[in-house]
Amino acid sequence: MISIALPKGRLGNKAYRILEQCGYTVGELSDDSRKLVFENEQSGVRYFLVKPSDVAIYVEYGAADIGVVGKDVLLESGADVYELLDLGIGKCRMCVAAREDYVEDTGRATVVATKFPRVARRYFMDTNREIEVIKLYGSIELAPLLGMSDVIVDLVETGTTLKENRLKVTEEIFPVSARLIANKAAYKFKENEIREIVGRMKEVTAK
Amino acid sequence: MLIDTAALPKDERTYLELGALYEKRGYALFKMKKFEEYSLYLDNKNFLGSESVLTFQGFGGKLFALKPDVTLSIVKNARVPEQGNLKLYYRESVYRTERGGTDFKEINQMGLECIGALTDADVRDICLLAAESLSVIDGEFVFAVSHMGFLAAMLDECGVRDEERRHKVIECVRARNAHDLAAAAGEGADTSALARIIEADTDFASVLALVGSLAKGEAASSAAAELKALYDSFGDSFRGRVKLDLSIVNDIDYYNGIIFQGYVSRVPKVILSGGRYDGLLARIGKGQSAMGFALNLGELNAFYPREKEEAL
Repeated sequence: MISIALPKGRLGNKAYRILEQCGYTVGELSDDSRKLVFENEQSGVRYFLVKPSDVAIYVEYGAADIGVVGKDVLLESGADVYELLDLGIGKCRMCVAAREDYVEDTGRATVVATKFPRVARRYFMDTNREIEVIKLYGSIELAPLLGMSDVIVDLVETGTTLKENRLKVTEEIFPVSARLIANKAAYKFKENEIREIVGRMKEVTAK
Repeated sequence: MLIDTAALPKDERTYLELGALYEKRGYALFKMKKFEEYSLYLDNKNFLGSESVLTFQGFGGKLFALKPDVTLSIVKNARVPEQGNLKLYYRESVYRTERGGTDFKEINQMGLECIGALTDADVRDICLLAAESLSVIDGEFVFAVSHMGFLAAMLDECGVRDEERRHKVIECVRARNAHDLAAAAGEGADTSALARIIEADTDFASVLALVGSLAKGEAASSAAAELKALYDSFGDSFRGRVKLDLSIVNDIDYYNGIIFQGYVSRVPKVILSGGRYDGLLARIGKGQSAMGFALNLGELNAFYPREKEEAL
C-alpha cells in the first residue's frame, strides 16, 4: 500500500485527476465530503488530504510515502525528500514585485513582505543584498501599498492582482509547478511501486 | 544479578549488541570530551553540513562548542599508529539543529572510525560491518552505497565548472530531480549521463552495468571496479539488501571513495551514514586515509516500542 499526500483544493483535485487516469482511483475522493483519508486496497493506494503547505512535511516524516506539492512550498519547507517528477500543473512564477513607481534605495536594507521568508532570504542572499523580512499570511500586496515594505516576494499567476493594485514584477525568481515528491526511506523499501506510479504519471502528463 | 537484555529499551539493547560486535572485530571503545574548540567546527563547516553549533566561552575568552559531530574530534585527537590502522568505536551525544531549524537536540550516536593506511579489503570490511549493524537493529534493512569518486568524475565530464552551478546540480542529484537538471547546469553543459544516473533504479547489478557503461576516465573506471569488488564481497544473505544509489552525495572536498547510508523499514529516515573521508584528513594536514560511519540510535525507541509483557 502506497500512501499519497494530496493538497486540499484546486491543485489536489488536478493531481487526483492525473492519478485517476493512471488507475489509482478511490471513488469517493471527488465527492464533497469532510473525510481526510481515502483508501482503495485494489489500487493499492491510500490518499491523505492535507493543507498544501503541510504536504512536504507529511512526506518527509514518512506519514505519506509520496505527495504532490508546489515547487514554492517545497523550497520554502526545505524538506529532505526526492523530487521525482514535474507534473506541469499549477503553473505560476515566484516573483519580486513592487509599486509601479518603486526605485530601489541601495543605501539601506530592502524590506520584503512575504509568505515565503526562506525563499526570499535565499534569493536576496544569492544576489548579495541585505533585506529585512516581514512574514505575512495573506493579502501580501497590501504591504508595499501601505508603506510597510519596499517589495513583496509572492506567486504570480496572470499578474492581474498586481496590476489592479498598481504593482509590477521587478524580478522573476523561479518558475513554479506541482512536483511529485517521495520520502527517501519509503523509496528504498517500496521502490518498485513508487517507480510504477512515477512511470504511469509521466505517461499521462506527457500527453 | 543477570540482566535480561530483551527487557531493555531498543536503543540500549542495540548499543550493547553493536558494542560487542565492534569489539569482536578489533575496534576499541573511545571516550571523549563533550566539547571542542569552536574553530575546529568553523574550519570544517562543510564537513558538518551545518553551521549551527552550540558555543560557550571558556576561561580566558576562548570559544568552545558542544560537539555537533564525533568524527572531527577523533580525527583531531586520536594517535594513529605508524603501522596498521587505528580502529575505534564510540557512543556519544552530539548537539545539533535538525532540518535547518533553530532548536538544538541532543542526539545519541554510535559509530566507528578506521584511520591509517586503508586497503581495499579494509574498505569492504567496514561496509560489511555497517550492513551488519543495520541487521542488528532490524532484519528488514537497506544498505545503500554510492561513490564520490565516480560522481565527481561525472560532474567534471558534464562540464559544469561554476561552483554555484555545481552545487545546484548536486542538489538535483540528491533529490533525484532530473527535470530541473539541465537548467541547474546551465547552457553548454551535457547532463545526459547524470540524468541517466538519477533516473536509474537502485538494483546494484543493473546500476553497476550503467556505471560501467558511463565510466570513461581513469577515476570513474577505478570507482566502477571498486563498487564491483564491494558487491561481490557481500554474501547471499545481504546481497538483496545492498543497493547502488548514486543519488547519495556528500561534500566532494571531504569525501572521496565509497559512501553509504542505511535504512531500516520501521524508521522513515536515514539511520546510518558514513564513507571514506581522506579529504578531511588532508585538510587538517594528515596524510592517512580514513573511513567510518555513525548510527543515530536515539529515536529508535519511538519506532520499536517495548511490548508490555517484554517490559515486565
